[in-house]
Amino acid sequence: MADYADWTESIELLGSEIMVPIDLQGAYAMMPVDIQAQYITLQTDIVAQSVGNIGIDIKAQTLSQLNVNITGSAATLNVNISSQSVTVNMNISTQSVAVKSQGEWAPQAGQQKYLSSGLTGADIEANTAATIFNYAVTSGKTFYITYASFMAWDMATGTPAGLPVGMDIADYDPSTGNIVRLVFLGGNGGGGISFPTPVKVAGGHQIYVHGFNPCEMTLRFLASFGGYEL
Amino acid sequence: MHEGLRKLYLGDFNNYNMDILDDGSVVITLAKDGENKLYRFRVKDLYGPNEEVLEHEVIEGKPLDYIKKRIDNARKGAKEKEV
Repeated sequence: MADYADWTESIELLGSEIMVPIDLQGAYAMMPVDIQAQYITLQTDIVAQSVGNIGIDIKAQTLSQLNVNITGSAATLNVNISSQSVTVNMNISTQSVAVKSQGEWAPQAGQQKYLSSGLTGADIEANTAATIFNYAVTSGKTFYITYASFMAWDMATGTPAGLPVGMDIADYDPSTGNIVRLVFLGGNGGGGISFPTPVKVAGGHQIYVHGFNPCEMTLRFLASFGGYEL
Repeated sequence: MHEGLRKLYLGDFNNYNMDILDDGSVVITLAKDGENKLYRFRVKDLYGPNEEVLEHEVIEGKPLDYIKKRIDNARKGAKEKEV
């Protein structure tokens, strides 16, 4: 390799269309670039085996396309998109990556909640409604209910009551003293439902599960609901 | 504050059962997956201004000896098979 003297040279380019081929063959090179033009195409091909840090701050109002192709065997890609709307197309072809919905992820993260009445449930007299059980959502968190179920037993015969009965889930806000949301469920002897869109209950609100007994005898109601609390 | 009630208010559990008793008090049973403990307590006026814990117990689960022996034997067998 030739021996080059150290030198510094300022270059001022005034042309409207300029192509400047730059070929740096030294072992190490530092090239600060400050581009203030309004439009720019910058093609960068980094073939070094390791790159410590590349900071990109794009302040343009629109960015039509940003392609990222990471072919390394291991990569960490932190993406923080704060614009008001974004379309992200993901094509994950490797089998070692699992992408889960929040409902699927919650049990793995220990955020799942299963709530129920005890086995003694609540004995509800004929033609009345009563609370089966209730729960106060943890302050500062939100409960997402993904399922609810209930059943009614005729304790006189010790058998499931195959009669029309109902339940509701009431989202009660103690600060206003009002129920802000009700979800009803009915069926012969009980019923169950899962919610594709979870029922959202704010922290501090109380979730009441009520049973409705339209029959002519006392029935024992058992109920449950669950989901995740974040 | 009792440990069970503390866990209830912090949401530090995965499983929750409530039995409403005739006197209006409730029995809450909490469990957290993997913790092998049950927190059972009876509360008067739960979530109310005069809330009071009337009874409280922590039940610790213990592995059953005969199941533990079977698991140990199964592991030992699997190791011998590897060799």
